Amino acid sequence: MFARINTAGLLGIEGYLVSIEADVRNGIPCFNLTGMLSAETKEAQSRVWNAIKNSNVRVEPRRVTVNFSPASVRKEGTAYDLPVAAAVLCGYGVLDHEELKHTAFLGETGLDGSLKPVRGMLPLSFAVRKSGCTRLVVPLENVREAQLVEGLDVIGCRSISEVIEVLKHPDSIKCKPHGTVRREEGICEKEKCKTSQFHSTFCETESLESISCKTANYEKYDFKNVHGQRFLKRAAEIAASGMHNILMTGPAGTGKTMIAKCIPSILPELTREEDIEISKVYSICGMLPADRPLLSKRPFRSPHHTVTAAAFAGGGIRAMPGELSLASGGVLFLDELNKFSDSVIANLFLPLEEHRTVINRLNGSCTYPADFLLSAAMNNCPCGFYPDRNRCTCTPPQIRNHLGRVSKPLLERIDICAEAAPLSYEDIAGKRDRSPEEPSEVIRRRVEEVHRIQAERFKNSSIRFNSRMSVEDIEKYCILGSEETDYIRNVFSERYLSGRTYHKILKTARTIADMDRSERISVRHLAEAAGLRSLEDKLSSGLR
Amino acid sequence: MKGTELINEEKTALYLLSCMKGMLSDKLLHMYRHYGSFSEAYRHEAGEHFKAGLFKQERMCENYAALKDKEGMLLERLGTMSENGIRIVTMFDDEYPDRLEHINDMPPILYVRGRLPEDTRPSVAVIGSRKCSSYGETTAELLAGELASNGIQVVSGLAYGVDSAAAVGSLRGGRESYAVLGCGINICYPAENWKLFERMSRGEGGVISEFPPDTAALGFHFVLRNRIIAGLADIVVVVEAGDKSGTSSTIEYALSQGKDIMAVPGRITDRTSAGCNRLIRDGAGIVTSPEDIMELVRSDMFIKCCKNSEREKRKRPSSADRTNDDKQRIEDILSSGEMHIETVSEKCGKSITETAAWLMQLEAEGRVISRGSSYYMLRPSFY
Repeated sequence: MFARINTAGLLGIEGYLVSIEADVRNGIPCFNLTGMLSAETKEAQSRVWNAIKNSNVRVEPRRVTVNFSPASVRKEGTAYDLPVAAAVLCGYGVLDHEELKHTAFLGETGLDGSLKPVRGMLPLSFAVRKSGCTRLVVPLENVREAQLVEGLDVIGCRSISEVIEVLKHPDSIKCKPHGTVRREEGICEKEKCKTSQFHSTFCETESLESISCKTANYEKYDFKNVHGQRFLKRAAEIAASGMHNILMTGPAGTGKTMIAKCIPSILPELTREEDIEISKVYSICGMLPADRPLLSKRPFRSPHHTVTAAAFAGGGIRAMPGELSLASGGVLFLDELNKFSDSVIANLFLPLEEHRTVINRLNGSCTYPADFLLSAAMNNCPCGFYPDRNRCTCTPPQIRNHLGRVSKPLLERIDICAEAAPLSYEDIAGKRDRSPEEPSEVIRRRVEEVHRIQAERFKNSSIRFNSRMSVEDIEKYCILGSEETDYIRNVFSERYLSGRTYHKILKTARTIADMDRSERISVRHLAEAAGLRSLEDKLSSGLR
Repeated sequence: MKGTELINEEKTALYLLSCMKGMLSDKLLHMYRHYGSFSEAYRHEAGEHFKAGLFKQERMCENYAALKDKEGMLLERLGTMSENGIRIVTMFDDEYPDRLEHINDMPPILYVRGRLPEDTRPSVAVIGSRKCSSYGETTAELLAGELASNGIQVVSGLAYGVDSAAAVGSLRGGRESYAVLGCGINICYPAENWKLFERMSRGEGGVISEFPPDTAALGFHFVLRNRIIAGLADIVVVVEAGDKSGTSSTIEYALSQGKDIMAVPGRITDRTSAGCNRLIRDGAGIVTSPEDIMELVRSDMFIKCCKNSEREKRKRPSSADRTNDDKQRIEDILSSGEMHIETVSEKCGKSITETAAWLMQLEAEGRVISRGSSYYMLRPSFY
C-alpha cells in the first residue's frame, strides 16, 4: 500500500516541506530509503524498523520502499525518523494516511520506540504551517517550541505507541486556541499514570502572552553594577543608540568586558518578530533555554580569539549557524581583537555590510541572519600600560605590531573607539562617594527613544539606524551650519583626518544630536563625536 | 695632475679596505698611521698586517683574503654608487666635515646621501630615548622644529622615539634634518622611518653612515655612530632619557669631544626623565625653551644664525583673552600632565559629554593635543 506523510527539512534558517512516501508490497523483504540522504538520515531504516517492532505493532516482513521528496535536495538530521515510521505504519495500514493529509510529523526515534527531541523545531514548525498543515506531531520535549506557531495544533508524544494511540482516537484531543493542545485525562486506561504526567506537562505550559511580555532579565550584567568608567559607559550608550560598532581599548581588568556584556541590557526590548527570528537560530543549534521556547533576551556572544572560521561564520559538515548568527539581534563581542586570525576577521566584512552570512556549499548555499552590534576590546600594547611610559615596558615595534594586527578594513567599519580610564583604588573598592550608578533600564528607555527618532527619519528607506547611513544619506541628514563647518574644518586640519573618518564623525554626531533630541547637529555634538575617533588616527599619527 | 691620481688611488684603497668584514674606523686609522697611506696598506699581505699587530685574530686574515677575492665586484659597485645617490666623502676631501677632523677615531670614510651638515652653520644634536613618553616626543618635535626654523642644523640618529620626533620637527621647521645611521647607507633602519629617510636622502638634509652599503644594523654599530652624532654637533641636547638609556654613550663621546650638553628637565617622579634630570644635576645646561639653546649657539659660534631669531611666536592667547572659565579650568587641570578624559571630567566636576565637548574645542583651537585615543595633554609651548 502507498502512503504519503508530511514533514519538513531545513535550508539555512528556513524550513521547506518534505513528503515521505512509503510503499509496502509483497516481495523479497527489504527496507530501502531513497532521496539523497545523509548518513544519519539513512540510519533511520534500522532505528525505525526496530522502534516499530518494539512498540507492540505487528508488522510482517515485506518489501518496504521509502522515498523523500523532493529527492534532489540533500536531507540531513534525524528529525525524519518519526515521519518515516508514520509513513511505514500507514503503508502497513496501521494508520490511515487519508486522515493525516494535514498532519506533519517531526522527531527522532530510539530503538525502543521512544521519541527524542530534535534541533530546529521552531523554523521547522513554521515551515509546516506555511505549507498548509494544521496538525503537528512532535516529541514531547519539542512541544514548547512548536506551539509558538499560530494555527497549528501540536501533539506531543513520548513514544510511537502513544502516537498511534492519539491518532487512532482523535476525539481524545481537544484543541485550544493558539495551538496549545490539551489531552483529556483518563482516555488511555492502560497508561493512566503516564497520561496524567502527560497532561500535567501541558498544564504548566505558559500562555504565549506571558512568554512574550516577560521583561528580559539580564541579571548581573546591568550598568548599575559598573562603577566608574563613565566615559566608556557613555560611549556604549551612543553605540547602542545608533547601532554603531565600538572598539574599547585600555589596560586589562578595567571593565571593558563587563561593559560589553551590559550592552544587550540597554538595547530596546525585543519585539515578538525579532524574538522569533533570533530564537530560530538558537533552535537550529539546540541552544534554546530549557524552560522557555524563546530566547526572549538579546544575545551576547563572545567567541574566544582561537575560534575557527567555520565556528565563527557558520559551516561544518552539516551547515550550522556560527557565532555571527548566534549574535544576531544582540552583541558580538571580540575580546583581544588583534589576536583573531585574519581568516576569521575576513568573515566579518559581509555581515557588517549586509547583516547576513552566506555559506556556499556543494549542495547549494544557505543564508543565516547576522545583524549584530560589533563590540571589540583590546590592550594598547602587549603589557597593557601604554601610553603610560613610566610603567609600559614595550618597545615601539612591539606596540606597533600589537596595534597593527587590527585589520585596517575592519577599523574602517568601527565608528566609535573609546579608551578605558585608568582605575583608582576608590573605583575598585567602590569607596568613592558618588551617586548610585544608573540602572540599565533607565538607559534603555533613552535608547528606545533614539531608535524611535531614527525609525521616523528612515521610514522611507531600507536602513534603520544612523550608523548605516550611506554618503548620500549623510549629506541629506547631517547638515552643518557655518559655525559647525568651521569647527570640523579645524579638526580636519589639526588631525589630518581621512574622508572616511570625517563621515564616521558625522554619523556619530548625528546619533549624539538625536540623543539630545536636537534636529540640528551642533559643535558640541561634533566635538564629542570627534573625541570618539577611531584607532586609525592613533595608528597613523600617534606612534613613530 | 699626479696629485689627483694619487688621491684617487688612496680613496679607492680606503674604500676597498672599509668594505672588509670586521674593519672599523679605528683599525683603518691604525693602518694609515702604520703604512703612511691606504694604498700602501692595501698592497701588503694579510701576514704582514698580522705581524705588525694590525690584525689580532686569524679571522681577520681570512676576511682580508676574501676582500681581495671580491675586489672586482667592489670596484664595480663603486662605479654604480653615484647612480644610487650615494657619495663617498673621505678624510682627504675638502668636503669632509671640519667638526669630525678633531675627534678621536674620526671616520676616515663617510657614505652620504643628500648633504653633509655645513661647517659654517651651527648644528645641534637632538637625542633621547627610543621608548619616550608623549612629553618627550612632543618636546623633541617642538625643539627641533624651532631650531631648524632658525637655521640650525639638527642631527639625530633616525631611531624610534625622540630621534624620529626630532627629524619630523626639523623637517617641518626648516625642511632640513641630518641622520647618522648605524647600518649601511642603503638600509633604512628602523624601516618604519622610510618616509623621513627618503626625504633626507633626497636633499632635505642628509643621511650619513661610516659603514659601507649593505652593512647590517648590529648593536655595537649604534654605539659607534653615536660618536659621529656627537661629533657633527656643536651642542648635544638630550630631550628624554631614562636611567639606562642609549644616550649615555653619546653623552660620553660628547664630553670627550668637549661639546656642550644640554638636557630637557622632566618631573622627578618620571622614570623616563631620570637620565636627563641627573645630567642637569651633574652640570648639563638646562633647556627651558628653544631660546636657551639658541643663546648658547650664538655665544659659542663664530657665525651668526642664518635666519634672524625673530621668530613667530605661536599664537597662544594670554589669560586675559580667555573669556571662557570652563576652558580655562580644563587647561589648568591638564597642566599637571597627560590625563584620561574621565579623570578630567572628575576633577572639573562636569559630565563626560560636556568635558569631551570642551576638550575637543580646545583641541580644534590647537591648545590641547591627544596622542592616545582618550588621553589629552596641553600642547607644549614655551612662555
